Amino acid sequence: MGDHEHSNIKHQEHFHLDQPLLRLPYELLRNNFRAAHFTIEKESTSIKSLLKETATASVNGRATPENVLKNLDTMIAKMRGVKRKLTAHADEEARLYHQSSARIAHLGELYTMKTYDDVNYERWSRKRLDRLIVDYLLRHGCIETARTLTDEKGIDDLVDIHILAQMIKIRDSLRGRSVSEALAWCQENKKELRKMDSNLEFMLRFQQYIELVRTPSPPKLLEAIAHAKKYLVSYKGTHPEELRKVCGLLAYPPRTAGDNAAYAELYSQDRWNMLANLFTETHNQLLSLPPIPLLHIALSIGISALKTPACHQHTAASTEYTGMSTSMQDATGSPTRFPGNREPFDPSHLQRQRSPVPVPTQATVSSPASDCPICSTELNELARSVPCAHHTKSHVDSDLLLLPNGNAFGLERLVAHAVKSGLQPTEYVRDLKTGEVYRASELKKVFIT
Amino acid sequence: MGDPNPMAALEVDMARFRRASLHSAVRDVEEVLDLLVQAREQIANAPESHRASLTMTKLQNPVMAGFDTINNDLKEVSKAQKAYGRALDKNFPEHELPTEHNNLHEKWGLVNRALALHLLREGHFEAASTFLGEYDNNLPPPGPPTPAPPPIPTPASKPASASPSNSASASASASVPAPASVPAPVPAPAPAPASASVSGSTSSSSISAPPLPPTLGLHPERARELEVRFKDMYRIQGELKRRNLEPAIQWARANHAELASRGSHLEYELTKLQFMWLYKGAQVNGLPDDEHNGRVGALRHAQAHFPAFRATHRLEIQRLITSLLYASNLPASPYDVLLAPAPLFDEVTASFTREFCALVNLSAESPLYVAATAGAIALPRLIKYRAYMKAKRTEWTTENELAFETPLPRAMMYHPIFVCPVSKEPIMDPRNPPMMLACGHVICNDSLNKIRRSTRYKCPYCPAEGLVSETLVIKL
Repeated sequence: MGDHEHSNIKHQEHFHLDQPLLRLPYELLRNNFRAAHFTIEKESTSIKSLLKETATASVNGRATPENVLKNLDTMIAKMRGVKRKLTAHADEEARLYHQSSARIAHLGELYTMKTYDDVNYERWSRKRLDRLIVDYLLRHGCIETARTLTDEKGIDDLVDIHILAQMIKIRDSLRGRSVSEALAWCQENKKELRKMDSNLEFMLRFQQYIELVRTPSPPKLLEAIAHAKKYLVSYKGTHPEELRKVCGLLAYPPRTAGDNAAYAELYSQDRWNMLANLFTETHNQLLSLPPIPLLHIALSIGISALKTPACHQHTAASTEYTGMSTSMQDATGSPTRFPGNREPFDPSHLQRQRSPVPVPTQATVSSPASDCPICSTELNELARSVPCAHHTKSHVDSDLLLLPNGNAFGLERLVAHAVKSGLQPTEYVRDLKTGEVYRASELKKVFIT
Repeated sequence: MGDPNPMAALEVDMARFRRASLHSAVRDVEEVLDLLVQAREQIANAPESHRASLTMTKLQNPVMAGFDTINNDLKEVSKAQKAYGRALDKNFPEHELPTEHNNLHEKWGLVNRALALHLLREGHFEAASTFLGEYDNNLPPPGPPTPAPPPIPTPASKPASASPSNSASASASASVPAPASVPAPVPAPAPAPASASVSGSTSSSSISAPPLPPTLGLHPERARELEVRFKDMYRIQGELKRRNLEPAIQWARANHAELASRGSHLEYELTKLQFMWLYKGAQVNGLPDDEHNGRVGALRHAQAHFPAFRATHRLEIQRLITSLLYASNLPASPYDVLLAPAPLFDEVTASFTREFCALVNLSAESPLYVAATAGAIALPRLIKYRAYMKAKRTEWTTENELAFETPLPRAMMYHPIFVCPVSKEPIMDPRNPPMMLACGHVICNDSLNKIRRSTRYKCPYCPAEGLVSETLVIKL
């Protein structure tokens, strides 16, 4: 069958799963640059103006040399601060360049391969799977496993442990009812979050307020009101509905909020999970990371592409492949129709004739079906609710031959199996499923269009 | 497809960063810093007002110029970054990934089990055991942003929350029930593991739940057993790579009954290969040059072990033994090909791996690897289809079958698939089997009934005609 075109790697299309591989370091590079730029912008303005002031004051005689020295010390301290921060940014930049280069080289490797059958492709694809697994592990908080696997595979440059571990830490701190880590992150990414119209910071501030109101003691309530004035009132334009609730909540301490579902909901501990999820979502969006693990995306479509209805007909399949007696009947119950004098060739006769020891008659060969990943222990249950692949063309062994019992196999497999069974394939062949032996002259060519 | 490598283009843009990096800004910051420090020293050494004024006035221009240089450095970096960004957009265009219709997060227990088995079978024992320990301490992941009904029933009623699968990830100290689909979870022997990173104790409303069941569906005992087994497998594979057949032969003999019931010929294949390997003699196989090696050794080996396989492999054994007679003139004899063991080692290793995995009820290739690779191959089709449906403003749902084709390489087709060329439908139903016409063409039974004229038919693919009663049911 001409499926050769399906063996060719379509390189350009093959990188859909690898988008974050280059996008993430690029986003980080930009963030890093923005932070560096901000540092310089801020400090240079203040140093420049201080310098000008000091010089003018010194010329005008308003500043003594001691004052000048003091100001110079301030400037030097500030400039040292700039240098320290900028050096950190420069190092981070170098790390990201190095990482991006390594990733570009890894992706470029794919272009040295032409087909999926290339042994190098398997190596490459395994590396990709390792990357996907590390991504999956990190998103599930299994940071140590991710580290172990990364070290074992030497794929440090291809995974983003640091960034995802930090994400998990903040997410878990939210689940543990602490907002400070998440707020610090919001502070770091203030500009971008505003560009995204993110409401994460508001939600965090709101939660802080709820926690203050939760303890109904006067000092806490005063603190709550102060907090609302400081952090929440400015959101009036964008979150009017929530702000009404902010005010109303003062009238509903947790004891009485039960009467009012809208306020009871605000006291719910589930809000922490909501916040954790909101943070994860915002974080991933900000860094162009997919919202779900890449492994899920790959597996979900991969399982569908591999799945056939046969994969979940297990009971049928297992009887077919193991412990079949030599006289297998048509599975439909109706005896296979063979016109004329088609007595099946008696294999037991052949065995007696050929050797004193009976040849094993069961499922003799591991058929490709026994390697089917969807039929495997690992994925079968997972595949149950996934749709099957859609086929418009038949895919069967080439040079298909029909045995008198109705089973059909490719010539190559029949010959190989006959040789392994000690038969002369020009004379006899043996059914790969049932173990029946037939004369080669009884085979018929099958044409599947 | 001879795609030009766009990664080469990206590498070119990457190279620009070598010239324009923040490190040059750091150097220029140092220069400004030096100016300031020098000025300070001058003033400190001669603390007179007019000198200080002079130094400060002189300092103005160089410092301002220094800051301009720093800003230029930054501009260069920014330019290089923008150029790289454009190159990225051009050579590595972004495609929206399909994240809807993805119900795998509901089945995280099954995914984790598949992953644990994958790590074990691939020999990542350390990662596997870390995973088994760490996994318990971690909650299921947050769901995707699309709302979906919580798939897993929670042990206690909790108010529904904004995000899906929250019920599963709900409270830190509340444990999570195993998804119903995990086969027979074994009760955890250990008490409910403490959540590592979460301060669950502070929760006032958290509901105390039953101990965490092993959602992996992979009992620690089973995991340890698999680890021991797979370590053995890797050891034997390593020996095979070094052309040492002994451990593999011992394993095959020890598992003789299981292998025989699978109808495997591995034991024979190994014995045969050992014969061929000994035949080659000490110069090739590097084994000690004694009576257990070389032609004599091969004959001894044959006498000791071949009789067990007389029933199944008589023909080949006969040829192998006969080849000894031609030893002096082997290349010219018909037995030369028979005795080339090199490719056989790889074959036998593959066959050994397959049988080994089968005996622990696993397939030879990691299903996770195959499925993820198939996913990468099929993903572009899904993305194209989504874009198409979006353009047509049509909602699409996947039911029993994908709505589009996802062609895979031949090696990834595990079951024969017959699509009736007349009805164009995949044939799976045993009530509508594929029928072979007398000419050898195959159509499904329903199609045959449609094209038949009482007892006769005309093949839709060739001029042949025939009797319906002479068509044959075939099983692919």
